Amino acid sequence: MVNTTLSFQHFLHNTSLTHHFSGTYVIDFYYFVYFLLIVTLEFQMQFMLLFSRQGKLRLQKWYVAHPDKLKKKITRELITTVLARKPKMCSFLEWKDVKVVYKRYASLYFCCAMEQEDNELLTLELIHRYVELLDKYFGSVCELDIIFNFEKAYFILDELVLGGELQETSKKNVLKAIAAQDLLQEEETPQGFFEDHGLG
Amino acid sequence: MPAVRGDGMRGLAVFISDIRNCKSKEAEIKRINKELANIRSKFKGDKTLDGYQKKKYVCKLLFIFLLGHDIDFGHMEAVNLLSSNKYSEKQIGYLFISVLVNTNSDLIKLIIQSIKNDLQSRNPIHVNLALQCIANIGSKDMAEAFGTEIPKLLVSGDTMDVVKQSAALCLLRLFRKSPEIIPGGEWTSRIIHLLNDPHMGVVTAATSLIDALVKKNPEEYKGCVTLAVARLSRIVTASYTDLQDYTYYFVPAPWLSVKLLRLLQNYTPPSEEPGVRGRLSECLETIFNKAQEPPKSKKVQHSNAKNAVLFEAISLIIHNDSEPNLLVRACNQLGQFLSNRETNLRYLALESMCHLATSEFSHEAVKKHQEVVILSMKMEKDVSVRQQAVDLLYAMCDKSNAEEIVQEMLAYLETADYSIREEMVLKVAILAEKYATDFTWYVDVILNLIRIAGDYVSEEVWYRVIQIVINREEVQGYAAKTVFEALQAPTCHENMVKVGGYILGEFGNLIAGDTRSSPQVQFELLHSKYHLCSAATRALLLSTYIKLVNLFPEIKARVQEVFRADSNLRSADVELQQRASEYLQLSIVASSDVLATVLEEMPAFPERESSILAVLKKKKPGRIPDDVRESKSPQPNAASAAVINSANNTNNSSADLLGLSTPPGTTAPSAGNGLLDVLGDLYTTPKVSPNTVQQNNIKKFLFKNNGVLFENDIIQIGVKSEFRQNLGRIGLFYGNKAAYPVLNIHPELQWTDMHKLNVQVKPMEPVIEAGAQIQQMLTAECIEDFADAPSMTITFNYNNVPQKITLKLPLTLNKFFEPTEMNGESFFARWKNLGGEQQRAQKIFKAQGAIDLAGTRTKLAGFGMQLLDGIDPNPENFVCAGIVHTRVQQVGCLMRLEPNKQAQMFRLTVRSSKETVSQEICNLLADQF
Repeated sequence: MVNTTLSFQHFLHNTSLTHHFSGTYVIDFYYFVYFLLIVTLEFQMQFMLLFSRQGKLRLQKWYVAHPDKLKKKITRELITTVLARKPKMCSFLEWKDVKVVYKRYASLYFCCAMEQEDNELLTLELIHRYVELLDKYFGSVCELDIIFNFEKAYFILDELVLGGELQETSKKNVLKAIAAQDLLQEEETPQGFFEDHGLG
Repeated sequence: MPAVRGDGMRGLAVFISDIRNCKSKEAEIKRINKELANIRSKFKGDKTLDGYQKKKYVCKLLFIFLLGHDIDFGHMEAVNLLSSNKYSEKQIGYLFISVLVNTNSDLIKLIIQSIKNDLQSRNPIHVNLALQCIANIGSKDMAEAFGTEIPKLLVSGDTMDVVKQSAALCLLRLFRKSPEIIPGGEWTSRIIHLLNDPHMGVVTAATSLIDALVKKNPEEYKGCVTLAVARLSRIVTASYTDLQDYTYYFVPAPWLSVKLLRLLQNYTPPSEEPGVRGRLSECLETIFNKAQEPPKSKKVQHSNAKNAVLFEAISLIIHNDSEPNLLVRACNQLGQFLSNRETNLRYLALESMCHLATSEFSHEAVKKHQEVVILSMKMEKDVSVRQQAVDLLYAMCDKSNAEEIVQEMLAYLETADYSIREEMVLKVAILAEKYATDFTWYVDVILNLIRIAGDYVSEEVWYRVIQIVINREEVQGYAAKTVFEALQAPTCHENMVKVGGYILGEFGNLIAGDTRSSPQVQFELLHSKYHLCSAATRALLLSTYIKLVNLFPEIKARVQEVFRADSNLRSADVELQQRASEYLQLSIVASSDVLATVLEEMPAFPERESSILAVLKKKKPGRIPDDVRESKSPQPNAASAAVINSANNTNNSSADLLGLSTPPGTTAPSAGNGLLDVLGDLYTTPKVSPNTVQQNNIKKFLFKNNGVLFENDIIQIGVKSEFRQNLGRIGLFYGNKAAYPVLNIHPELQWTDMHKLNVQVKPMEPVIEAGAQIQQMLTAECIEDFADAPSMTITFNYNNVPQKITLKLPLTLNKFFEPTEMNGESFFARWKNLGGEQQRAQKIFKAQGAIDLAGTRTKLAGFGMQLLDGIDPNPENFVCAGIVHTRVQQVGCLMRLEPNKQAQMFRLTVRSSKETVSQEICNLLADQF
């Protein structure tokens, strides 16, 4: 599990994508997780996926109603397409009838598929903002944080993007909203504690 | 294992660890199945589960779903969680529902009830949870249930900002599902004024909502333009410290800026308020200036956010297409990006330039970058960037650079990625055709295409080259020579054999004089490829062979031998067998005259839009710039036959009127009416009634291009015309119905708008023998829109009695229409934009007899505009769109015809960007239905 505990923080704070593109920063390919975040916009996102370099899906959020079968098909095909792309390639690609935008952090791809017309660069930065939020919340986020706290990753996303539209761009405001949620939880008496420890 | 945040569920964490420790896929599935069985039994068991347990199991199910497994139970438990008084349980319930419940679930009623309760909560966090759920699911039921609630939340003064944000987006989602939920009236201005909200997050969310509302109803929300420009202006002039947390890497509010710029792209530039327009220009200038400033940060986020705003500003400038200096500035800025080290910027710059290339103001500026773009096509590492470069080259191509661009594209094609070859082939073929001044060049290009990328040359492409060669006499010999040479290559693509076979079959005689390409040599060369080809190609070659028999009787025996070969005459392929046996018989039985008639040279093809373009459009809707430099088929050769044939293409009941002039060898269209009939009873004595000008029914020619223009006892004048953009050709056919010749026939043209409409009349024979027909060609060019159709006075002598006929030519403004397809949204957006006093024309008139919708429809279909169905909310109304082409400008024109059956009246409204055009189109159509 060692490989996945390395944090993205390094990449968020020390490495800019420019370095990355120019190849001056050498990264061990396997030490990092590929994230793929796919966001399709019809002026709004259609769905968002997050998966590792091995093609494992970590998060999926659909803003359009598709039958499960189709969702699976789209996911599978898109993961394959994006993983096949080389590091220095452009972050945008036309795929089916959408434009996919993806980004790699520390061998980590963040990617969005959107309507042809939409602003690619800002979609890229929307992904960045999401990563920043995860990073701030978990404190040096890594793949395991998202695996074990996937529901939190969802909650944070829901504050940032609602119904496929950007809701709040302020990092401070999103974190405030999440903190308020956590506060509500902590007021509750933790039940099932004994049970989970084999005493229930 | 990392720390679990919030109130952790240990059971869940353990389960996730278990899964991660599984060594194989099988082990994982086993573990999951065990867990599913466990959860199922827990849910079914007698013991009531407490909220925590439910939450835990629901969460496990979610995790299993995320791993890619189907989940078919647990929904009810999740719904139960919604009414929990514990926030964390409620939240997980909502999460499960938003991820796993589809919109038509049976549970939706229960869910709606829970949401209702939470919306009433005093705690904004609960309210938001409910709103998020509505926005996530966004079904019709939701729209019905909350359609009144949410708009109130949005504009109420008591609502907290965070709730407002969610409410705006929630409403947007529901609006997309059920547009009727947005209340109109006073709500409009309250919603628009959210653009002034002090909270940036609220403005951002509201702008998305307003953008969608504007798309539906631009007129109603027009007020947002001024507010949006004001807001934008405040942002772009703000320093990065002003907006605090809404500044992103030193760029003030990039998301909001982009949304505002996008919102403005729903309107034409605000011309009514010069102040607003000036302010917007200032904003755009400021954005450009900032792009030139040294970066405030080296981080890519900074430059991305800055450039995102810049690209959106450029999109707006392109959309407005009204400020040449901004367009050129945009082009220069993008030119800089073409050599930026960021692949992303190069990609976007190429894409954006593609749009600039279609504006007349910036087309030339784009062309300056041709060299760099060609380099991009060749050198970029990423195929998607190369693709953009190809698209841009296609868009920037015009007469001046076509040869070079086509040459470069051809050269690149040899190494191009397989994924883009087919499209490149289409593009090269279209450009070569569109800009060919010398059609030998065109032939060379297409043959090169087949040589280089034969597999990617679709049928349309090689059909097209044959059509063009057949229609253009001057290249036929060259084409025959070139294909003959191409076929000599030891290996050549099957498509080359097809083209070669067809062309030699038609025009092989043109090179037969040279001993190196004597009939025998031609035949043997073709036949040497025969065995390597598919059945379809062989069938084509068999037809070529019989044509060669006609052209060169000396090789008849050799060809018959081939037809007789078992592999043909007894081919397993029915088509080959049939052709071989029929052609063999034909060559044996038919006299050379019959053979010559049957195998007459192909008549010219109807002139029409290149079918290749249609293929490309289908492949890439929206990506083919089709306004200014639309591809049109080449002019067919001047031989009248071509014109007449092409006219046959316009299907019309009277199209066969001129079937007489169809070149021999083609099956003449069914002769059944019009002149042919008249000529049938040629020798019946006509009752000559001199100077009777029979009704010259000019009005009916509004809706068709062909027919009988005039007829009396002596003479019948038929017309056939065709129009392309601002050009037209009109064939007049004078038939003498009477028993004596018509002498000294002399037509003379008069019209008032000579500077607006240019008409050239070709000279014609002065005599029409009895029963004969002569023709006269006219060409017309529309220079500017005009109102008066030219009239023509024809004088002649019949039986020594001078006769005079005056008639109007069917040359009305609507002939220069190009139909325009558009959807309802853009139709009404344009309609609204053309609302000015100077742009509208309206007439109300009485129907001629009972209102006949089908008849009206047929008429409108022939008028020249595109009939747009399913756009007008009232299905009885007709709406049409078209572009009037004149030499000086193109005028977009929209029309709406509303029948009123009770009153037996029609209301006709025409809107266009030019007053005189609206007026004239309105005049033409009035009283026609």
